[in-house]
Amino acid sequence: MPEHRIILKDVDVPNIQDIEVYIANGGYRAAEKALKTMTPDEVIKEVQDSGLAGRGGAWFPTGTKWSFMPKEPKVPSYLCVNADESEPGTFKDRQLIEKNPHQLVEGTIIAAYAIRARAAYIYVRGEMAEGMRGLDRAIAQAYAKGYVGRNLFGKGYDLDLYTHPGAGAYICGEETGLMQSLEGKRAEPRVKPPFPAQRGIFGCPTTVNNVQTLSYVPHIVNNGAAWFKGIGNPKYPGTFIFCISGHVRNPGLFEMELGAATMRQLIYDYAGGIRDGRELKAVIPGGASTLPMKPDQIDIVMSPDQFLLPGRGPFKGMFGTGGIIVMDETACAVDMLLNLMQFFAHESCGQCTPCREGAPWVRDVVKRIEHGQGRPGDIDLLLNVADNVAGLLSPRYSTICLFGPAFSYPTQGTILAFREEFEEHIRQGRCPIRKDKGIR
Amino acid sequence: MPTFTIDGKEIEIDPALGNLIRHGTKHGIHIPHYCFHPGLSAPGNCRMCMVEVESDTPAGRRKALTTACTTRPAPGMAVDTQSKLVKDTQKAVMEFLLINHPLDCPVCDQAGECDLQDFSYKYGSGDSRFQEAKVVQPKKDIGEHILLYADRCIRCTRCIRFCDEVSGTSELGYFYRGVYNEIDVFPGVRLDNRLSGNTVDICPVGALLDKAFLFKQRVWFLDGVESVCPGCSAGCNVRADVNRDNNRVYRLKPRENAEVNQFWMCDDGRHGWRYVHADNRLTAPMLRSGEGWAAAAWEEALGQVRQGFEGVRAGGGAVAGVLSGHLTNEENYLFARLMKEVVGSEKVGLRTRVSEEGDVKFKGGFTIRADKSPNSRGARDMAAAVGLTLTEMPDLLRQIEGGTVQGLYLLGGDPAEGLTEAERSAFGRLKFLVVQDILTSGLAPVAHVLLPGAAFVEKEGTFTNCAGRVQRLCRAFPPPGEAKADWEIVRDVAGALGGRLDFASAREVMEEVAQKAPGYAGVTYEALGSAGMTVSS
Repeated sequence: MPEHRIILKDVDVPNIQDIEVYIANGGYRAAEKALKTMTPDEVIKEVQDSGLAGRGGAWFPTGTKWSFMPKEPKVPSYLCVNADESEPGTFKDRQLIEKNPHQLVEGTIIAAYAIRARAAYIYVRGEMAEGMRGLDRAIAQAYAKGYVGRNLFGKGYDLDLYTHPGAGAYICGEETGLMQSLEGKRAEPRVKPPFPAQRGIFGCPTTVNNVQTLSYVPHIVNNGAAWFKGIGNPKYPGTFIFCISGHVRNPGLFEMELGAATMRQLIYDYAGGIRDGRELKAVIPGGASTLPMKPDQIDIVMSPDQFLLPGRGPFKGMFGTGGIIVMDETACAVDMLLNLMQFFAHESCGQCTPCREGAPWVRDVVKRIEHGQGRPGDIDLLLNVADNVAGLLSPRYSTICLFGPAFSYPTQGTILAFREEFEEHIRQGRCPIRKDKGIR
Repeated sequence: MPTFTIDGKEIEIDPALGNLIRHGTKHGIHIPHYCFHPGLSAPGNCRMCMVEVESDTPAGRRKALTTACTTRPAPGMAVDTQSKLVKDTQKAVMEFLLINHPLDCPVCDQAGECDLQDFSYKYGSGDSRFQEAKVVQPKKDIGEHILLYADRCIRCTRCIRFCDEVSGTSELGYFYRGVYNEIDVFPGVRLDNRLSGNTVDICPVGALLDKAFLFKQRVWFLDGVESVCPGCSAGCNVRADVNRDNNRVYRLKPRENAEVNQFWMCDDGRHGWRYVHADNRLTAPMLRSGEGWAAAAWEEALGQVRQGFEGVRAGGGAVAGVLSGHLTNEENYLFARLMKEVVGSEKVGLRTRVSEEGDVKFKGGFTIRADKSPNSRGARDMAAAVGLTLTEMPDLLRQIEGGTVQGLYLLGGDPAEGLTEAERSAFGRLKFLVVQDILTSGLAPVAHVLLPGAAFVEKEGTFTNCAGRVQRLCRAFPPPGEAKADWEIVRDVAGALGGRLDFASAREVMEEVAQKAPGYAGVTYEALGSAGMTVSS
């Protein structure tokens, strides 16, 4: 099955970043339609009926999330666009922002109208300086056209749209951490409840949506809920962008209908298979915090409903963000976990105890094992320490935010999948894998 | 009243209590916690208070591990604080908190009153599985009174929240990230707000330290004696930590009283007690002897007092008295009776010391009062109880200057005693001045007899604060040398002057005060308890 491009469809149109080109290609018709012919609740209903679910990795129904916002706001309501894409292995939002910023701006306008937001903030990862410049230009053009600002489309609706750069912390992508950061505070995630729709930025009702999610919204408004609902998997309709990286011949972005391809097809048919004719060793299916798969698991159909989270499917792991990282036989499982843990230990905000102390502890033990100083008992220690943060196989969940599980699940998952390799490291007192670190 | 259960025990929901921890505390169920403090917001960051909560959700009845500090009870909720998952989680959190914590309890001031230490025994494990290098953080001098041993910090952020929410001064922040994050003062700022000592009190470990107390005493040698801060008319409830082997105070700590000081006290009060052990304490009655002073026995001193006042009267002069806002209700009451009934004088004044800065109110509502006398309200009430109308001090001074009043019995007790120019001039004209005080103060040069009284920790009694709350002082140890509780001195002076104020204790005096003083009906030491009572005005 070929790619089905909806939100990536126009990315290669020359100068689509320019508002005139975007309009010439059908742009801002959805915003006009929504604001001129639909009430906010009708927009919410349309998105609810479409079955659109949050593409940031949580897969929460978007329209339902919008419906939590107050219908008669007593204080300003806000929309936050999470463009702090930082999950290792994930690089789709960056493309959407850089290649087609007006699509995001239009989606943002419609979403803001639906939730009756007074202003929308696009929180852009600081490293995406180019995307930020493009967005700022797009927003300025939209203001000039009257698509953002006062009395949009003559319907009396006012909306201000701002970009806000992050300063390089992964935790700013956690929605409450993002709101803290936006308020100028340390990005320490908040305890929920209250949820953002009750108390978000500046203490006001707030919805946080992912870039990819909002990029679908103009298409849903233009083509109708039924059109979107009819694409791909009825449980998780629509397309999804897989970002395939690692030891493959043809890494890149692939917009696929959910349920249209297996992991094997994604790797071998779309990403060109493993480079240099080597064997597949492991694949991380949806960003660094998802559990790695072994080669005998890759016939799984790539759709959220095949995964325990969010769809209670058979694969005991998370579907995640679509960030697929492929590793061949030259990769070492311990080294892979070390790489992840160096990232997570560095990025833990340090607010709550299990994550602050647990992440560097796991990192240090994994580092010892990889460097030939593993001790008997280390593996069980790692499993137990990770379980004490958040248990893959136990009901333990002891941290404020999902960062805890984000490192403890893959720690447990990697060890469960590659336990022998960990044991071999300890037994030999060295890393037994002849690694080729040069990822080409 | 709707109810919920903790460990099967049915408990009424009290919205004023808020979260599960406080509901548990009220009903004798302790849920261990570090970051939560009832006087501050709950960030839920330490994760020590996790309990299993079963409740009705839109998705049906669910059971989940959650923080007791951020969870309010709901009708029908079932809380389990003893499940295996809860205990395992507590053990895990303890381990996480300890892996980078130094094992320096033997040299740590907090040892013996450390939540980390106590919970480690109760919820932790005896050995450590951590074999990696510890993260070591620096020791820092962050304020006039405060040291921060950051390596002991468990990042509960109570101190930061205190400075944000209660003092409103926000000197403290959180720096760096992850395991390296560190509490510190912001650049160019010191933790010198006037409530800074509270950060030491609420620090659950030995990270924030009081310089004045550091290495002075192991806490298990100290007994806590309930008292009231004598530093101003706010009447903050305090605990004097004393060592009974050497009868010394080592520190004052605030005691919780929701009606008065919540959980706090100011640094002025916290460090203001040192006069108790000052070198210039009066430890024996002193009689003027030529240019100097000579210590005397009580008998002799009381004889001098009698002679002095008799001499004044024989010369046609009047004797006046001055109540003290620094002495207790019982003492002021007896003194007012002495003046009216024994001396037969209605000329009674009251000296108070009021700071020019006025009341100092902080963001959280805590207020340092301008009136630096802890009991001026009570002294007035006691005068009223005896039926005395107080003479304004300027009036009294004019009567002294004019020669009508030639003898004066003055109650002192203010550790920061200072005479005004008018007082110095007037008192200098007196034929006979008896000063009852605790220190050789500025009054000494003009006095003829000095009677040694007791400091607030050396006697029983009550103060009435600016809001009319009567609160007890308890005696920690006897006054030094020949010094006596001031009510005893007043009683003995009455005897020497031929009157009878036969009371065996301050408690007995209060029984009479309760009958005489307007609004004090029903006030007994038992009824006051440790939190006091507010009298009707």
